[in-house]
Amino acid sequence: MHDADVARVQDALERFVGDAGCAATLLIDRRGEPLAVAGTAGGVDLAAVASLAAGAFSSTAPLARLFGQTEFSLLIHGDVTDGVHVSAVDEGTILLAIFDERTTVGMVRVFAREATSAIGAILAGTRNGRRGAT
Amino acid sequence: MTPRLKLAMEQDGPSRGRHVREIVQQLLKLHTVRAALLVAPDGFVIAAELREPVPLEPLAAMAARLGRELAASAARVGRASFSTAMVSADDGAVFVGAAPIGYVVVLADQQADLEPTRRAVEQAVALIEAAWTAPSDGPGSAG
Repeated sequence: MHDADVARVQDALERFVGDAGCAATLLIDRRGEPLAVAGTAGGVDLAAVASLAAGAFSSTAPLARLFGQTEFSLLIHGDVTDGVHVSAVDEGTILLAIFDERTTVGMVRVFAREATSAIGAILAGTRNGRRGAT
Repeated sequence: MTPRLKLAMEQDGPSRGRHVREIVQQLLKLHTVRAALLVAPDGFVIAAELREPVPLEPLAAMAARLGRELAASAARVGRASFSTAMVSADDGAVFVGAAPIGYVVVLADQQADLEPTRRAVEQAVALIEAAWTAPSDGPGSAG
């Protein structure tokens, strides 16, 4: 990715944290490797969260297939006021949001939809640019 | 952009979530309002302000279902979606307003003046709409 695209992804994550009021957000790949982070979640091991959330996300694919889908686009762990919101950005990346009582899962969902769309567009543009260059 | 929204943005920074919560909080300034909510179309509570304990999740689920049904009914008869709706009972009324990200819901007691309450719901909807259609360099920007 170009530096400009990295900065745009970071901007989108920062905006998501600010708008949704979540503690932290991570863009991770499907193996659970963090690609970008915004915000802080004191005392929480973000690398472990990323790895476990990616595993949980992929483990629901067989269940999704029973419903005729390739995967679920959204998982929520926790309850209404504390938890982890996991949403697919594209086939290679996942957006995590760690939230607490300062916001609601509904608020996180509203802005996660926007953030995944914005980040997905940036990543698609990067891929298309790379394809065009080869 | 309305003066009130502009003022809120200047005072409170660029968090649209915070701004939305403040819009919902404003509805509690009407002393006959017992609860004010912003509910996603699937029933998830986005923001809630309560003057007294109320069963939040059932209220949110009812409002979301009502809102969806009204929107679908309007579409079936070829009309634009509803803007506000009111359901009244002996002990109060529920107002539902259609906003870009869900439904503004107000639970008012039986002494509530209906017209001012309806106007307050409409104003809340308008403020949320304004927040979601802000210029691209402002808080409404998605990227």
